[in-house]
Amino acid sequence: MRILLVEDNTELATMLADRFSAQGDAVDVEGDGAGADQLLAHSKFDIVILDVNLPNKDGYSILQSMRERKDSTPVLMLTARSEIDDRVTGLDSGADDYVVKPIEFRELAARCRALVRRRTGQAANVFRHGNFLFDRSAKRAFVDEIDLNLRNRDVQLLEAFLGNLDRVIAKEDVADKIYSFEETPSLNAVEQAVTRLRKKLEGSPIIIRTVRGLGYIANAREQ
Amino acid sequence: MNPEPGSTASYSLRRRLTFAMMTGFLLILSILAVALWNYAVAAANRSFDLLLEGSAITILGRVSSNANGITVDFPPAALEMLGLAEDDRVFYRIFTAEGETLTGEADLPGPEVDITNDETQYFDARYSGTLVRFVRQRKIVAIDDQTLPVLVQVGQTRIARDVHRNALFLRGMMVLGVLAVAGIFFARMSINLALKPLSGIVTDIESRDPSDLRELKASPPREIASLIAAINGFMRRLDASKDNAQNFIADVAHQIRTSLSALNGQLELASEPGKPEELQRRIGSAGLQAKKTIALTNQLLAHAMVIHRADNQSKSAVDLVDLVTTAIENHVKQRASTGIEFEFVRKDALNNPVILGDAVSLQEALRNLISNVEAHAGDRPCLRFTIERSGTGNRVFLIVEDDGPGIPHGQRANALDRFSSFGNSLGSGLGLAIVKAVMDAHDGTVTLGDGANGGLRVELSFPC
Amino acid sequence: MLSVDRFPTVVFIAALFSAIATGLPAKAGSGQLNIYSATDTSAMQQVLDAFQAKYPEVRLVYTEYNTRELHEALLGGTISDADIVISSSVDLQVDLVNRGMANSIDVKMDPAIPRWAQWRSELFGFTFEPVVTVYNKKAFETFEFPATRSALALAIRDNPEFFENATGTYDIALSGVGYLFAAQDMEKGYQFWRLVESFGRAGAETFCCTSHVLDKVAKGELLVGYNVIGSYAAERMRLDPRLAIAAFTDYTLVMSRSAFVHRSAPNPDTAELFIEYLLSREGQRKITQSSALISILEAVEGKSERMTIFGNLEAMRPIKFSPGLIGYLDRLKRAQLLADWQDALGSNGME
Repeated sequence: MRILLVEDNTELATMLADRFSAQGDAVDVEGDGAGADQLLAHSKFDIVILDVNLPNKDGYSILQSMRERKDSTPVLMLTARSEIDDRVTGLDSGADDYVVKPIEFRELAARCRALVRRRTGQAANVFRHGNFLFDRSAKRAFVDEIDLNLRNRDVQLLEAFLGNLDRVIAKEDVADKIYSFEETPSLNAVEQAVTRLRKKLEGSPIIIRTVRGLGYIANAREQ
Repeated sequence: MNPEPGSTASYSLRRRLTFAMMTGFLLILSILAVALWNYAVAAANRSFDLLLEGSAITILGRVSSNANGITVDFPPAALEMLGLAEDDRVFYRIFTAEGETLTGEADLPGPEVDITNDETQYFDARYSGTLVRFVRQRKIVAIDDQTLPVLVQVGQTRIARDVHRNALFLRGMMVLGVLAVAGIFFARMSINLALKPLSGIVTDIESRDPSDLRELKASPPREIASLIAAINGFMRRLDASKDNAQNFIADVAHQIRTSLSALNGQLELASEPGKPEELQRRIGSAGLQAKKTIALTNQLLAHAMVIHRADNQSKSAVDLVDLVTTAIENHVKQRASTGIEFEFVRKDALNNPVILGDAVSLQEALRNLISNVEAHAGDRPCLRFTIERSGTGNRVFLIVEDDGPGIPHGQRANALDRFSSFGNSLGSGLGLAIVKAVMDAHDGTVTLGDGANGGLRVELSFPC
Repeated sequence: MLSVDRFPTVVFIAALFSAIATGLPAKAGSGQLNIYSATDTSAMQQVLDAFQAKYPEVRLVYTEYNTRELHEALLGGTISDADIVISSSVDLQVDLVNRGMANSIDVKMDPAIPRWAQWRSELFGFTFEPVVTVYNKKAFETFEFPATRSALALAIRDNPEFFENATGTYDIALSGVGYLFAAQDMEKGYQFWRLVESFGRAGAETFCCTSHVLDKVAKGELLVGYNVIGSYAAERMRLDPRLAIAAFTDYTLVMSRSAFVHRSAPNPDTAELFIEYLLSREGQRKITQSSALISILEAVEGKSERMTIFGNLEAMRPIKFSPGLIGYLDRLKRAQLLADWQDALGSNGME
C-alpha cells in the first residue's frame, strides 16, 4: 500500500511510519495541513491517514478539498478522544473510517487494509484477503487456492456480504439481494443459504455472524 | 470576583426600575395631561360661556314688541359685562327666525336656525379674522295675534378664555410635574433601600476566599430569599463537585501512578540479564502492562469526554435501534475476531424508539458495556440487547444482558463507582462509571440485575 | 381736508428716495405717515411738530375729519391708506378696534397710563379731558352756579325767565362726542333726562362743536353751556375772563382722545413709533405744555396746575375704553336715544 500519513506529532508519525515500512508499505509523512493538501493534489495514494488537528489546515478541510476534487482515495481520520465529534463518528465529513488516539498500531493497520480492500473489492474483479480470493467475473472463490465450488446463490450472497463488510444487513435486505421478484423469498431460505455459505467459508478469514433480531454482519478476520 | 457595580454589568436594576417608573409616570402624566387639558377647556368655556349667556339673556330681556312690531332697547351693559374679559372683542346680532337682522352685525356666522330648539346654543366660528365663541338664544315675542321667535347671538373672541384655559392647564401640569418628580425621587430612594441587602451579599461574596464555599450568612428579605437559597444550593453543589473533582484527580493520579510504576517495574525486570525465554516472558508482561496503561488512559479520557459533553453538547434525536446497530458494527470492526454473539430483541414492534440524547456519549456507554462482556464473559459470550417501552410509555429501556459471571450482589452497589473494578486484570474500573455518567447526563438511570442467562443485566432507562 | 406739510421739498424727495431704496414699507422713523384725525389740528399741531423734529425723515400727512365722518369713511373703505387713526369719540374708536381694524402694537408703555385709557394693546388714550359745563361769569355773579345736574335742573325750573333761550349743548345727532357724552350721562342716572327736559323747556340751543358754545357763552348770548370739552374750555377761560367752568360734583365725565395703528397701515413701524412718542413722557409733556390738551399721565409737569381750574377731582369719572361703549352705537339704541333726546328737548331745541 502507498500510504500518506498526515500527522504533526513527530514521535507518533515516526513510530507509525516505521511500523508500516516494516510491513512493506510505502509511507509518506507530512506534518503540515497545507503541505498535505498540496501533496494530495498532485500524488496518488492508496489510503490517507489524516489527523484532525493540524497546523495551517485542519483534517476536515483537507478532506473537503479532496472530495471537491473528486478524489475518492479512502481516508482514515485520527482523532483524540476529547475531539471526538459527530463529523467523525457519523462519517459525515466524507471520511471512510476513524480511529481514536491513543492508537494501537495493529488495529490501525487492520483498518487501513480493510478500507483499501473494501475499495478494491468494489472496484476490481478480484477480492483478496489473506488466503481468501474471490474472482467476481469467474464467480469463483478460493481458500488456499482450493475452489470452494460456490453455487450461483452462494456467489450472490457472498457479493452482498463483501459489499457490506462490517455492516449489519437486515435479513430482508439479504433476501432482496439474492432473490428475484418471481421467487418468493422466505426468511428461512435466507437462513439456510447463509448457513451453507458460512460452512463453505470455514477456514477463510471471512466471518458471517448472525445478529439475532437485526440480521447479519460479515467481516474479514485478521490473520 | 464581582466587577464594579454598574460598570460592566449588562444592565442596572436601578436604572431599569427608574426607567420603568419614569415611563409609567410619563404615561400617566400624558393621560392626565389630556384629561387636564379637556378639563381646562371645559372649565374655561363654562365660566366664559356663562358670561356670554348672561349677556344674551340681558339683551333678550330688552326685546319686546309694541304696536310697530319688535322693539329692542339694547342694553350696553350686556357688552360691558363681556368687557370683564378685558382684551376680547365682542359681536352681537339680534335677528328673526327668517334671518332678518334687527340690529347688530348682519354677517355673524352660525348654523341654520332651528325654530324648535329653544336650548342655548354654543359654537365656535371664525369671524373678523379670528376664532369667536358664540352663544345663541331664542325668545318668543308676541305681536298682535301671532308669535315670532327672535334670536340673539352674542360672540366674544377667545383670548381671555384661552388665557384662562392655559393657566388652568399649566397650574395643573405644574402640580403633576412636582408629583412626578417627587414620585421618581421616592421611587429611587425605595429602590436604593430595597437593593441594600443585595450589596451586603455582594460584600460577603467579594470578601471570600475562592475556596470558601460556606453558605451566605445574609438574612435576606423574603423577595430574594429564593435567590439566596439558590446561591447557597449552588455553593453546596459546587462544594460537592469540587470534592468530586479532587477525589477524581486523586483517583486518577493514583491509578496512573500505580500502572506506570508497574510498567516501570516490568521494564526494569526485563532489562536484567536472564535466559532468553525468561526475557521474552518479562517483555511480554511489560507489554501487557503497557496495554493496561493505555486502556486505563483511554477510559479516563472517555470518562472525561462524557462528562464534558454532558455539560456542553446539545441533544438531538437518537434512534435506539440505530444506536445498537452502530455499536455492534463498531465492535466488530475493532475486534474482527470477537467471539461475542449478538442478539437484539424488540419488545416494542412499532416505531423505532427515539430519545433525545447525545449519540457520541451513548455510543461510548454501549462500547463500554460491550467491552465489559468481551473482558469478563467467557469464550463465546452471548450479548442480548432488548428495547422495551414502559407500560405508561414515558420511559424507554435499553437492556444489555450477557451470560458471563455477572457481578455479585454485594458489589453491585459500588459497581457504578469509579475504579471499583474487580476480577479481570484488564478492566480499568471505569466502564460502568462511564455508563452511569452518560445516563446521568440523559436524566436516565442504570440498574444492575441478574440476566436471564445468569449473567449481568444492565438496564438503561431513558425518559421519552 | 387739510394737509399739513411743513417740510422742505428737498427733504421730502430725499425721504422718497430712501423709501424706494430700502423698499416698502419704510423702516421705522422714515417714510410717509398718514394720520387721520377727528381732533382739532390746532390742538395737535405742537405735538406733531415735536415728533417731526425728532424724526426729520418722516413725512407727516395729517388729515382732519369730523368724528362720525371719520368712522364712516374708515368703515366704508373711503380711507385706505391710514397709518394712524385719532379721534376724541372713544366709542367710535372702540367700535373700529372691535371690528379688528387696529394692529396690536408692543409699545414701551409708561405704567402710569391708566388701564381705563387703553384696550387690547391696540387703542391708546393720550389725553385727560374732563367734560364740563361753562357759564357766563357775569350772569352768575348774583347767585352761585349749581354744583350738580339736579340742582341745575331745579334752577332752570325755578327761574324759567332767566334761563329762557340761555342754555346750549351738543347736537348729539351731529356730534359723535356729544352723543358719547349723552350716552354716558344717561347711563349714570335719571338726573340727565330731567336736565335735558329742563333744557327743552328753556329752549336750549344745540351746537356741533365746543368752540361755538364757548363763543356764545363768552359773549353772553348764552349763559350756560352743558357738556363741553374741559380742555378747550380751560384754554379759552385762560384768555377770556368772561367765562367760568363748573365741574359737577355728582360726577364729571373724563374723556381721552385715542389713537390706534391701522391694521393695513402702509408704514406700520413709523406708526408704532408715533404712538410710542405720543405716550412717552416727552410727548405727554409737549401735549400738556404747548396745547389745549392735557396729559393722560398724572405726574407730567404742568398737569396739576392745569387741573386746578376744574377743582373737584374726586368726582371725575373717566369713560373706560371697553366694548360696553359699542352698545350705544347699536342702530336701534341710537335711534331710540336720539328720539328720546328730541322728545325731551322739544322741537325748539333744533336750530
